[in-house]
Amino acid sequence: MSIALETSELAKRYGSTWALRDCSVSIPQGRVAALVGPNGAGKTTLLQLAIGISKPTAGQVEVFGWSPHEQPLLVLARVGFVAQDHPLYRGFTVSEMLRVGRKLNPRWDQQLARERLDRLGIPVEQRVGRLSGGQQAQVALVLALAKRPELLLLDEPVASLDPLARREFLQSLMDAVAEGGLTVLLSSHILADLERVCDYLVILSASRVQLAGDIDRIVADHKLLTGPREGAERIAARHTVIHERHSNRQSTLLVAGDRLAAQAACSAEPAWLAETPSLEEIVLAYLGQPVVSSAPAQPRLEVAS
Amino acid sequence: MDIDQSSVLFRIDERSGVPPYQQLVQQVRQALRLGWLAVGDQLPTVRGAVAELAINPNTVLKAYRELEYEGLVAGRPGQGTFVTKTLADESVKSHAALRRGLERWFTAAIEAGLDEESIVALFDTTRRSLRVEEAV
Amino acid sequence: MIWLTWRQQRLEALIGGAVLAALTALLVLTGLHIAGVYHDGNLAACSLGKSQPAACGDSVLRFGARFSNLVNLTNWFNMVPLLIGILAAAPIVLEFEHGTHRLAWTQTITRRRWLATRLTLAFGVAVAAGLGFSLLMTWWRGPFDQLTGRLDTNAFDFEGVVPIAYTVFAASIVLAVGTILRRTLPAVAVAIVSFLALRLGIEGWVRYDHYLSPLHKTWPVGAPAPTGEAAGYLGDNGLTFSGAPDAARRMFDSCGVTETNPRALQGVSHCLRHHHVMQYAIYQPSSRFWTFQGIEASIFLALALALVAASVWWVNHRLV
Repeated sequence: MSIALETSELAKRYGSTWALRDCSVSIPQGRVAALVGPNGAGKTTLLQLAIGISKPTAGQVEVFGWSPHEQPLLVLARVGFVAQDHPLYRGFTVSEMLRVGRKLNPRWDQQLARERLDRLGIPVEQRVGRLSGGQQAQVALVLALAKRPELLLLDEPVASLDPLARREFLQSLMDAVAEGGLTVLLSSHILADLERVCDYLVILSASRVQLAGDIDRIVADHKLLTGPREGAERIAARHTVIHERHSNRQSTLLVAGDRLAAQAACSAEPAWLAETPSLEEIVLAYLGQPVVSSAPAQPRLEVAS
Repeated sequence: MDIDQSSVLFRIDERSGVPPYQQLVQQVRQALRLGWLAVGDQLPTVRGAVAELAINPNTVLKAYRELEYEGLVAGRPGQGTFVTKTLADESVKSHAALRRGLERWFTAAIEAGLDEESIVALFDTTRRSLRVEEAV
Repeated sequence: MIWLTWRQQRLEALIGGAVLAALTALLVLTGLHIAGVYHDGNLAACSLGKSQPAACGDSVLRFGARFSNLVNLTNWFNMVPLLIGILAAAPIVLEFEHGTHRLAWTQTITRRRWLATRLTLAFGVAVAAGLGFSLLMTWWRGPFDQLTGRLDTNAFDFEGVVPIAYTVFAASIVLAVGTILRRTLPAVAVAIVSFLALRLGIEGWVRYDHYLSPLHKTWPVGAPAPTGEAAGYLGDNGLTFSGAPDAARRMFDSCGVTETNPRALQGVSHCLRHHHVMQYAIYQPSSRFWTFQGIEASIFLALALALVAASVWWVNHRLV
């Protein structure tokens, strides 16, 4: 299984602020990967480093084995990028935007672009500035797809769109994925839509990777333990606790680890229930308590006080 | 108005806690049980389902693989995925017995003094713990 | 890439083209008229460097007075290089302001090639427009230059190579400030203010006093000014008298001087000469036109080069 995007201790500093630190991820080909995290977590920085419009302060990034900084044309020919707020030349018509793509990209599929736009019902002689937000996002996506990329990087592609436009954008995106040969990495600070669209997850918080992996494996590797308050410390001590909540009577622990171990722990304590957490619960748990040390991203062991 | 060519309309409930592929599997099984899908019917194409629902194509592929593993469907290369077995007869038979058992249980729960919410809570927690054990 | 650059600058090019077309029409129409009057009045005989018939003094003054309003109007043309420079550089800054450079840089093109093409076209247009403007103004000013030389501000600012240097300089300020701030309006504002300040400052305090040391000439009162070197730019000039200020006042009274204009002094010149009063002029000769052009153009082009280099560095190393 080959790797589409690989970073190794990747870091970027602006002035005295670290936008990204110790970032090591390995996204396999064919995945639709979600990059989640709060604003300012480093998502845009990571995407910009991957496409090469930003240079690393430390560490490495490789796209299909090439360095975006050292072999920019090799990377740019294979990677599509839609920046935040999908910038387009507002004064251009849609067909002029296609012309830009055609002139600046050797691997340009004009027919694919026209077909997609026709299917979406977007008039090609219309000025881009006159299109709706959703249509502009679709045009930006078509521009990125028409150069036949193998990797598509999208920075908050649906953040500014209404729900219908958001749904239509993701439909277009998934349709492109279904055609085959495409790996996607999209960043979002909205958790909705992620589980249906993505099969790989990277959680970024406080400029560091908190968790990364296939979503199926992540969900299988985490358990939500609920039980009485008194036993909480005992249970917590036996697990790697990601997040915990306590009331007077009840405790909830989100733990990482083998489900057999969780089962074993719960069968020893009948008052405790082990359930499968939702993806959203897992993501929120990791975002709530980000690791800020320079140790490799591992969930901390927490003992409730 | 668009008429879906296949007989089952998929939907994904993000809030249910059930993984999307499993929801699709359940919906196909439900359609088979209720007789909406018969042997020989074609399931929605991967691209069709993806375009309709905005879901990852791998989700659909995974669901169809699971159904194929259970012997319910079979993929024909270049043509699509087709139903090979129905669940209608089994469900009719087992329904009656289960239904009677359920009625007995409900009666017992009400006699024990549980109100409707408590009954539902008891049912849910038992179901969840059973599901976890099942997964092991 | 060339198509893209042109298409992005289309609006600015059309605006600039319209302004220059209007300017050209105005100058051609008036210029032909001026040349006609000059020819009809046989003023060619009065041009600098030639031995001037007696009638020249009056006819030159009349010619100057007839077109003085028009010539004063050309002061506004100092804005033309500024305007062209702004129109040439603004599209690049707008690209940074709207973030569309991130669209361009993620097509299959390197940042350097993108920048090189944009800058070449922008500054190429600026140079071409500046050159055209200079040639047009040089033609228009032909009659005036023959009579009064090219070194005066009305001529110097619009002829030779300095209009090109001004245009390039204006464009480079917009580019540098706009690249760093990524905002077009502040960049244009800074360009306007600094352009005017530098132009006025150099013209007022540096050009005529410091490029090359001005020449001094003294000659007896009442005698005609020596024509050895055609006067280009006249600076400080007047009468010299060796003695204390109150002695000068007594001397003027004794000669019956009531006004110090050339006509009045002519009448009492004999008396003033007797008191060793001399006329003096500090000036820059016309022959220094190209030297001054070279110095001034070098100043503005050197500044422009520094600003462009800073912009290129910023784009390549800091901009994301």
